[in-house]
Amino acid sequence: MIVIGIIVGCIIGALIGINAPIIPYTYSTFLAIAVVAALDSVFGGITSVLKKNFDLTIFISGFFCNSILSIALTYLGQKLNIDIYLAALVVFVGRMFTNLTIIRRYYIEKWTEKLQVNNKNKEEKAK
Amino acid sequence: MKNKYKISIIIGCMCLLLSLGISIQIKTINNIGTSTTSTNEIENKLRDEILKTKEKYDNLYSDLEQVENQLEEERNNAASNNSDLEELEKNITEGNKILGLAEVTGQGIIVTLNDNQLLTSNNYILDPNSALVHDMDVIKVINELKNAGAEAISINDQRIIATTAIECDGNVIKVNGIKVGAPFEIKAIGLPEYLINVKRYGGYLMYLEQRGITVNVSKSDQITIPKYTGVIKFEYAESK
Amino acid sequence: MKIKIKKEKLVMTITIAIACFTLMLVMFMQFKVVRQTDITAIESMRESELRIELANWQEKYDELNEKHQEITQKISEYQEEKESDEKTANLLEKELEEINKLLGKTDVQGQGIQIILTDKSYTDSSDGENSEPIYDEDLLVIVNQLFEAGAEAISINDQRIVAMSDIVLLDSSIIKVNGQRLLSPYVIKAIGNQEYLKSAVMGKGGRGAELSELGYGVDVEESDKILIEKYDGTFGTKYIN
Repeated sequence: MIVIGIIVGCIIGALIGINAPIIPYTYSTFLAIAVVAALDSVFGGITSVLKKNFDLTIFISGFFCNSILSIALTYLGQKLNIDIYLAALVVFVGRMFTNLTIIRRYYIEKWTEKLQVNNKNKEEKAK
Repeated sequence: MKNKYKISIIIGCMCLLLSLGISIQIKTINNIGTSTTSTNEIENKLRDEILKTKEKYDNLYSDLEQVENQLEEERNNAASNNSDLEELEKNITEGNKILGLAEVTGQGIIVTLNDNQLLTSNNYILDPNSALVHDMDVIKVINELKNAGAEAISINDQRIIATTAIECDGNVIKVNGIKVGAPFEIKAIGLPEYLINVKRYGGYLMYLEQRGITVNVSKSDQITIPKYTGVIKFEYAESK
Repeated sequence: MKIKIKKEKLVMTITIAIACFTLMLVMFMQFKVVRQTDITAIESMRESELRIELANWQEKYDELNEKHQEITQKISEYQEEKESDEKTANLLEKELEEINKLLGKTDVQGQGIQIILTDKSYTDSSDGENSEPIYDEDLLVIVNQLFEAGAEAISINDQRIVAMSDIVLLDSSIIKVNGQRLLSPYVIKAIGNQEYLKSAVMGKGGRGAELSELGYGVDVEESDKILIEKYDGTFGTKYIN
């Protein structure tokens, strides 16, 4: 059911996004950083699902608040003449990599475990 | 109580300093006008405008194509039951094809020109400029194609019309005011047996090959040349 | 109890769907901007270039808009005159006339310039009187420079330059335009904005100025009434469909 929700949401979003009128170039930096923040939340969410401590409220609030906050910080950075969004980018992407590592390790461990079990079964059968 | 009083004063002072710093910085940046960040406001506004105008243009263009089709249909309808009118209508369609206002297909040849990729291996090339395809080279190749009886020509899908200029613009060339870069794919519709003559001994293509430029000529039975994407109109010239 | 779990799951699905929706929406909008920015190559432009680019796009838009209106008007005219063959014929003829004018099948007149190119002649101590002819390349470049400056119609020695006109050197002093042999002096007529045309040929980098420096005769004349004759050949249409 959740998978269906994800797919439907993605497809509708993509369709509207393609057909939507072009957004002003000025906002495109903000949107880019918001996208990165949201993606970071998504990876964080996946990790927490794997760790079995997923909380919807935390996920959703992180998803939107991080995006909005990063936009606000980027705006402040523009006003202060400093590239704050670079810092946000470093943090977000860095965290994305950490989460990706966790996800990768989780699946590799699962896989090797399965392999070991299979091998054991075969050995037992051979005996 | 006294402690709290002290803390609030300290915090108040800090807030004062912070907001002072921020506002001074903002004011300075606004006065200078050109911030060193990659996002300069005036330029970004201009970029906004350009993108918006381009979007409007794109929308109008697809709209125009519909309207043009509709006009052709109307014309067809209007002329459908009268041979004289049909003749006129046929002339109009044909005229549009020659003008470049309609897509055309037919047999012909495709000439591909690319910059010399192996600059260093060719020792006799002293001037690196001669290893690049220039506007003049394209003009000459097109002139030879016209001479060989081409009826429609395009460069990288930019249709050559009567008033097409081929300009040099840095390291790319501009055709119809639109930038095109190497490799150049020149399509020409006409009798392939004649057109292939551009490859003859002593022709310009041979000279280009001597300069180390990659030249490729191939015949094709089905070449599609798109229509001119701009508007053709006379402002100064009047019929007499 | 079961209903409660189901409800919780539903809420979760919907919220996550909304999150996905927003993410994809924003992402694709961003893709669009980035793509358009790439096409127009405005990312690296500075202010002055951007202004020129903007003006270009606005001009293109205006032109297109004008054409759009013209065509819609034509459509409504056709629809109105559907009943009468005579009036339809008029409309068709009017349209054909316009096309013929753009093709170069009619004489046109307007403001423009006239360039007269004459061979370079010099006296050599050994051979006496000598001359250096003008080459096809010079004419090609000048024609191209004139079109670059917005020329609407050009002719060389009254040979109209049309879409598929070629300019080739036949032998040392005969140039073929549209398959017709032409001899020096070459009279190039062009209709368009006089100042633009003149500066394109005689300004810095213009082939006219270069030829003049080399000793060729280059004579430019501005006129409000340049008459350019029609192209009297046929247009090849055998192979285009």
